[in-house]
Amino acid sequence: MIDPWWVTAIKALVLCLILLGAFAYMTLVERRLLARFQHRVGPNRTGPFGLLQPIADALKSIFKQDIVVSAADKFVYYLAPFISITFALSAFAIIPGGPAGSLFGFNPWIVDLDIGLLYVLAVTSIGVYGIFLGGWASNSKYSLLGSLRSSAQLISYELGLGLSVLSVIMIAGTLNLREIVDTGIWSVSPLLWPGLLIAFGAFVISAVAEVNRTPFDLPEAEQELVAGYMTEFSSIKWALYQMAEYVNMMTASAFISTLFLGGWRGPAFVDNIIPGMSEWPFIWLIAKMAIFMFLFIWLRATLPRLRYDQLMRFGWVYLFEIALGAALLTGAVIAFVL
Amino acid sequence: MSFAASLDFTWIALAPLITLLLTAAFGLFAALWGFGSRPAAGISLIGLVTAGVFTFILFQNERHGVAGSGFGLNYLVDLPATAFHFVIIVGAILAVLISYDYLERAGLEHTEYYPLMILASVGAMVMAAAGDLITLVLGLEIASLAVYVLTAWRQGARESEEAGMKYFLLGAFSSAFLIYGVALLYGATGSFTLPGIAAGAADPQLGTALLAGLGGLMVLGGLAFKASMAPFHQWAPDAYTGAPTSVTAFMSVVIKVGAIAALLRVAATFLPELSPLVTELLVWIVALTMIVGNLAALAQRGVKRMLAYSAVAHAGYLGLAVLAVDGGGMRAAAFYLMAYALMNAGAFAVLILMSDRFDHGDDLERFAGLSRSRPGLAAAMAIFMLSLAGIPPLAGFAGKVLVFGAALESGYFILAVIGILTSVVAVFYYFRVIAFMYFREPEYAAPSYRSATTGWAVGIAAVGTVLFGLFPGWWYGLLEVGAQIVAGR
Amino acid sequence: MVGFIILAILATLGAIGVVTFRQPVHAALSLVGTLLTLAVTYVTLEAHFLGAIQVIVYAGAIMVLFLFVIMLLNVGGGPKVDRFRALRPLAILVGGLGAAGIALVAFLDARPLPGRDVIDSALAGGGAGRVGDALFSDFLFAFHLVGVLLLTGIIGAVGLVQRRPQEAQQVVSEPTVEPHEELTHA
Repeated sequence: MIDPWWVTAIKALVLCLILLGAFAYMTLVERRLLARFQHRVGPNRTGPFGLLQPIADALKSIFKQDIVVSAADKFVYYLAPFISITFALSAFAIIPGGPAGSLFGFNPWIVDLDIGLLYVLAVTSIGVYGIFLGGWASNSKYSLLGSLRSSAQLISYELGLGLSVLSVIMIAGTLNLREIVDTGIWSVSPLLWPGLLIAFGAFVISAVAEVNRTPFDLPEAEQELVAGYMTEFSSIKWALYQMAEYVNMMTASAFISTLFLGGWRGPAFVDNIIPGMSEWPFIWLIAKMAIFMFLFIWLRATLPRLRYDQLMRFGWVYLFEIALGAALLTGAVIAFVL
Repeated sequence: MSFAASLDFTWIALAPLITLLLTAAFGLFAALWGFGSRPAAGISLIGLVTAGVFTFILFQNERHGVAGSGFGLNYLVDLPATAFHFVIIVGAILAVLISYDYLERAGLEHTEYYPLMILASVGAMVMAAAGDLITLVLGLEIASLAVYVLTAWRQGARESEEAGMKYFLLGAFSSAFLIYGVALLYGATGSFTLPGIAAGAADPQLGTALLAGLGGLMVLGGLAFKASMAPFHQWAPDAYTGAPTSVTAFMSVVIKVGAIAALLRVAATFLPELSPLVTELLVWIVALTMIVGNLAALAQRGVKRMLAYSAVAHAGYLGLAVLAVDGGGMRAAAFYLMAYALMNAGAFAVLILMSDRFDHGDDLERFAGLSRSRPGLAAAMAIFMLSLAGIPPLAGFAGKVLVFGAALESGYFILAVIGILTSVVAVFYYFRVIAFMYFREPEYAAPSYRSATTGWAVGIAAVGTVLFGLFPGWWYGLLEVGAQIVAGR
Repeated sequence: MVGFIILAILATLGAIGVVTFRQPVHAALSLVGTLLTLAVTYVTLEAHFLGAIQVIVYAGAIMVLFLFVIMLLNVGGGPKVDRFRALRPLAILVGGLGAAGIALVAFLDARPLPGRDVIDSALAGGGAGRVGDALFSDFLFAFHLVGVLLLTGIIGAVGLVQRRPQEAQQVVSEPTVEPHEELTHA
């Protein structure tokens, strides 16, 4: 069943609003959680539990002076943040939120593509341009270094990402995310579990690197590069980059959940409590995403940043080989055992 | 086509290719384990000889009608293919022998050298055996990519890097043309295979003569570039001169065999079905190549550059065979290429023994009086020069006779005359080398460099040149049925 | 059809931008625009897989590397290059004639497309499955050859890059063989 176009448009709009709202509150959650990790209190003055803090932040960044670097390449300088946020938001379109027709009779996803997985990879690979061009257009050495680093990092870890996805694709036999969820990759055979586990680990690590989070947050290593590619951006443009980063985190979490953890499906045992509960749309996906969002913050609070050469060595020498090994293992099991 | 049906191949048909790929892999492992390049040379020689044996078995099989199959039309193992493979392998063996001491002396010992050479040979072999344009393009790319790198092998030397860069940029440009041509041909005829394109182009219902003609033109241009035919030869003198001499010897032989073989197949299948304008253009290209190559070679003082232009000129004579493919051109070309491989690689091997470790010192003056200081070397060089000039009873002569004969048989009278006239011109510049060696007082100290393996290469090439000239019937006779077995005909 | 014309215009503008922009980064971005437009064109033709691959490979990998090199070398939009100025009209003429010739051939030789159902069944939804089928049946040998090609490329790149430092500095000297003094030109 295909939704009429106006439903798709409304869904897309609503999804964007939800993601941006979630971004606003994720900043609060992150600050509060980091404060907890560090035995501090965190922002709690604006509204109850600091709940109005994001609104204050938003107002502040909109009304701050928008400094435009005079030596900047103006067109690219304005374009770059929009590239980042546009492609960050469009990547989410493919994630299925529940079974077909479960959203007031419509489908709980924006589009359902046969090449869904490739779509996500394509969109994220375009998103690199935002960071890359932003750093270049600022005409500042810190920005340029930050953007060079970050694009090299993103390209390198895309390999690990792509290769670890390969196991899932081989098991599910499709690139369509909805069908991958329907397959239930863990239920196919226990023999596939070792390969899948390795792929899962490699994927999570690559995903952390792809969204530029600690311990892979070299693009904005403040001790060395001030704020990396974002150094020369202020006010709303800076906020757009922040948005893109958090939206990317959410996309990554949703993507990990969808590929490896059954997506919108809940665990089977909940059906014993309330029949049909594991089929409820959205809540299971959001719960799984929340786990990974927490993981991202937890990592940030716990791990130090890698050095650049360590990052590259890890990406090319270890992660790449491990992901390749997982793909080979899964392929071999499928070809020779099953 | 289902998966099972696509597995239409016999292992023996692919044995030479697989052997060479394994050889390249072993060579790389030698690099990985830090053995340096010398064991890699040994491995390469063993691999090449093994592949040669397999090729010979295939060749004999074909002659006795036991046809092997390598994925149907994707990879042909017919008589011409195996014959060209044999020439490629001989050329590669000579090149490895030449490189063995040369690399160490020139300080170019990197283990990737031999694997790249082997991979380039694989590419050329694929080109020679391609019965479909996709395979052809891929083979050409494999061969070219490896040779681009080998051309620029002398890092830090301007000539070599410039040569590599030039070759790479122009080569990439010509590959783009070739691929565009393949796309247009596919659009016009709906097929990638040579016979399929021929059938599609002959079909009057398709009504896409223009499109197919344009595609054929571009394919022709791309292949003519690789065969260094004028006016697409501009890269050749610089690339040949700038590359390390061992690489020049390799690429002037192996890449040319692949390109000419591919041209022969194209000419034998779909070229006649395209607009006559395309064939007419090829005629002009061939004529221009013979004229330009020989006249430019006449003006050179450096022997290496002279040999580079002479390679262009020989591409012209081979082009005659391409045009005359229906009148025995395939056999003539196979013979000519074998002769060319021996005498050309031999001449470059002599150059290596003559010049210093940076490939300098190949001026004509340095050959003066060589007959007294290094009589053996001078004699070998004289043999190669005489054979390149086409003087009986050497291999080059037999090759030229066959090629001109085929051209006359196919009615290319004017071209044959041009060929004979330019051969006369060529005698001048080849004889100039001999004259310097035998009738001039030495001006420089005699070259003191000696190398056993390079010496062997010179010896093998010289003996081969003489034997093939004295007994041309042997190799030519083996090729007897070759003319009939062409893709899809 | 309207969509195609818009996309075609965009792609052409991008291609013109590649050769006319003075700033290399702008030229590269222009090329990215063209590549993305082509990807969209493929998607409108129902070739989804091709579109996605076009984006991932060209826009996502190759062009990023292009830009990477441009930025690393810090190539600016230098002064106008005046070499070959005399050849410029000729180049424009040849290019224009070539483009016109190809366009002419395309229009003169235009063939009616096969029916919609034929195309749809051949594309099978434009997904990866059909491409995979073709790759592992008709083009199995070519698929293996591509592997060899990539291997060659990798070995070549390693061979070019992996040099001991002293060799990179090696200055090519004049011939080591010196002329004999008593035997120079008479």
